[in-house]
Amino acid sequence: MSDGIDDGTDDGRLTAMFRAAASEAAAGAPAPGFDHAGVVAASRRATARRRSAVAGGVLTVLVVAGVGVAAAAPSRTSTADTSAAAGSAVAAPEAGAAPAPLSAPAPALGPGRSGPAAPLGPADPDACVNKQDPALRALLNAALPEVHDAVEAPTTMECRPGGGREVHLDVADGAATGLLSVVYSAPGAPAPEQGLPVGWVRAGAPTASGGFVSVTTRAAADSGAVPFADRVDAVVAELAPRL
Amino acid sequence: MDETAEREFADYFRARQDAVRRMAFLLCGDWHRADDHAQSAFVALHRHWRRIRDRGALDAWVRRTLVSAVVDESRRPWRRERATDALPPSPVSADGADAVATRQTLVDGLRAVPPRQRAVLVLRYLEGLDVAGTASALGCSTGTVKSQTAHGLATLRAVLGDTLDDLRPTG
Repeated sequence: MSDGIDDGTDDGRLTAMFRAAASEAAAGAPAPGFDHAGVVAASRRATARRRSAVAGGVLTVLVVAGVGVAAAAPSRTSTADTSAAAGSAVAAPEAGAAPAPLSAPAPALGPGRSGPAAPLGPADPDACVNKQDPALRALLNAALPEVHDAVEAPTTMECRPGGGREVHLDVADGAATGLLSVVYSAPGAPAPEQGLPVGWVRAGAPTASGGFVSVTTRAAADSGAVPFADRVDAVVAELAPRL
Repeated sequence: MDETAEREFADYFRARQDAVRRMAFLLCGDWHRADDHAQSAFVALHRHWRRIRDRGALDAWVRRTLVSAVVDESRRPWRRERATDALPPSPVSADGADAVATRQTLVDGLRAVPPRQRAVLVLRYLEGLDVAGTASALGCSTGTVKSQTAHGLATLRAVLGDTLDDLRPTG
């Protein structure tokens, strides 16, 4: 394992020492505070909560989209866009679907499509922030269609209330792979940390609801490039008016 | 999950529960928090089990989740770890023969190492990952792993002094 930490310390001896320390610590450790049954039960509870969130998120997006379409209808002569928006509701994922890339419809984005919709805004400020918010995912899918089938990245289960929304995806952009994170901070919430590790690319902007959205992308260790590094500004520009 | 998948997960859980707890403990230095983090990692794994097609990558997936959880927690305002100019007093080992005390000293010393550097040391020297594997688990460059390893070891040496001979450069 001597592969470049050239400070003269013997890696093998360190490994033996760390493992011995861990083993002896474990020998005096309390009994595990969790078991297999508890893990499975917690997983099922989390899945049930997520299904409820998916259903609620899809409903929210549909309502937002409906408001936007209704607002735009009197001033538009073409019905093509509104038909498309309504039709896309059919593609909404089943509420009971397993966690998977979402195909929930998002409010139409960009000029020439349906009129400006009300911003999505904060989630329930008293609930834990959903690290894979389905409504935000739907907006991201519309802003960056290449991530439509991207798999959700592992996230922690910390409960952080405040009305934020997040999406974290393992993405591929050609040969470049990595992690793409979208974080919406509700109005009044602390701004994202300013420091950015080398190799990460981030863009951010205030949103229509008075919050803040940031999009961060970073390369996987074996990736030669940062995925979608040249798209984060455009994605933020698309998302900010919708959030 | 179907029955087969549940059985596979149960087998994996049984095989890895102790190792994941140990890793979590060295990462955070507290058994109760270690249990919380380890349980969260297993819950996340159970939820994603069907979509992790490469069963050989399970350990890497759990490591990544666990390290993220511990490092994220250390950044929370109410749990944020703060650097200090005053290092803890170096333990005095009269004859160096008390291996248990010495190893406990290592665990104590790790608490003085900043969380991300600590994670690098644990991944490299407990989990036995090479630089590339550690970089992959942490989502950073190999250069960052090398520098964090050097800084982390330097901090450990500063805290522990000569208590642990193995931490002294051999060159």
